[in-house]
Amino acid sequence: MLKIVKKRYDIQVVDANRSVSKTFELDKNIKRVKGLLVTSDKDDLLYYRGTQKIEINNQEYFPENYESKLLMSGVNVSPNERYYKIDTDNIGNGIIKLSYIDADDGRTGFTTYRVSLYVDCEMEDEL
Amino acid sequence: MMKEQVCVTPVIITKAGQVKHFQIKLPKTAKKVIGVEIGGRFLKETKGKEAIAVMAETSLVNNVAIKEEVTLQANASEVRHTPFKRNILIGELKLQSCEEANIFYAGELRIDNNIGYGDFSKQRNWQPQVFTHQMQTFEDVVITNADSTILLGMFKDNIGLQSRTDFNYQVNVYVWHSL
Repeated sequence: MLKIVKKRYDIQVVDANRSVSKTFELDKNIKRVKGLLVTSDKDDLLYYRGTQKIEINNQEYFPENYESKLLMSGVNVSPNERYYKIDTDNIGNGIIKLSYIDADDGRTGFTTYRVSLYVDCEMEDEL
Repeated sequence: MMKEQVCVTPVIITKAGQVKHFQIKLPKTAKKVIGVEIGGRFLKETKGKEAIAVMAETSLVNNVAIKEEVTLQANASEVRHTPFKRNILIGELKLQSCEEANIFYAGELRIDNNIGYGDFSKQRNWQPQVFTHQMQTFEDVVITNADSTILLGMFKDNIGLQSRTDFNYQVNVYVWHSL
């Protein structure tokens, strides 16, 4: 039976106007990715400064310069609807690569912040 | 299974009232254009940064003035109103495809100043912001043939024209296409 699980992967942005890349390995029994969501501990910095590229198993789902605000959901969105829907094929041994770029636009002061990528997955009970 | 992909085209605006023509190149594998999204950010070296602050301040001052008026009215009749702030129109985007007559997409880039309109959780010390209360953002659905692989775009600045200041900002045009 397939279970629905939500995974969270974090990166820390410690320098202004820099890019941060990190690769995350999904559990082997995750068979499908159904949605993505980007949040932060400092929403305003992510909203005004962030762009990212997201690849799953080397397939590009969101290209470079895709603004983070387009993948964020505010508190007005129902919890069941917060994830940006995507659909992957049978991915087994999935790898997610997140390349985040921080760029100042003059409306926010920089301080270290965390960017979290939430992943809505379907997981097999046992291997 | 239909696969979707998005291509991002940045357009830099530096002058008040600037009209910028640009091309969006789609991959040869693109079959149809299925959606358009628009976003943007001010560049740090914006000359009109002070103007943004002034505009924000002006709307704040107006807001406070309206609020005071509303409080007086509320005291009088116990009816509460929510002040409405004008949204700022940054500019207008139009897209044309060689496969279609005329333009197939026209959209506006705006700053939303009314995200907290009708939200009863707001208080004097806490106002809803776009980064806390925005709804999900999705592309505007269009369906256009992508055989020619090139789209023609035009962006016209409005914020600089209105405030008579040169704003420096980047507009991102996202074109979703099916493969």
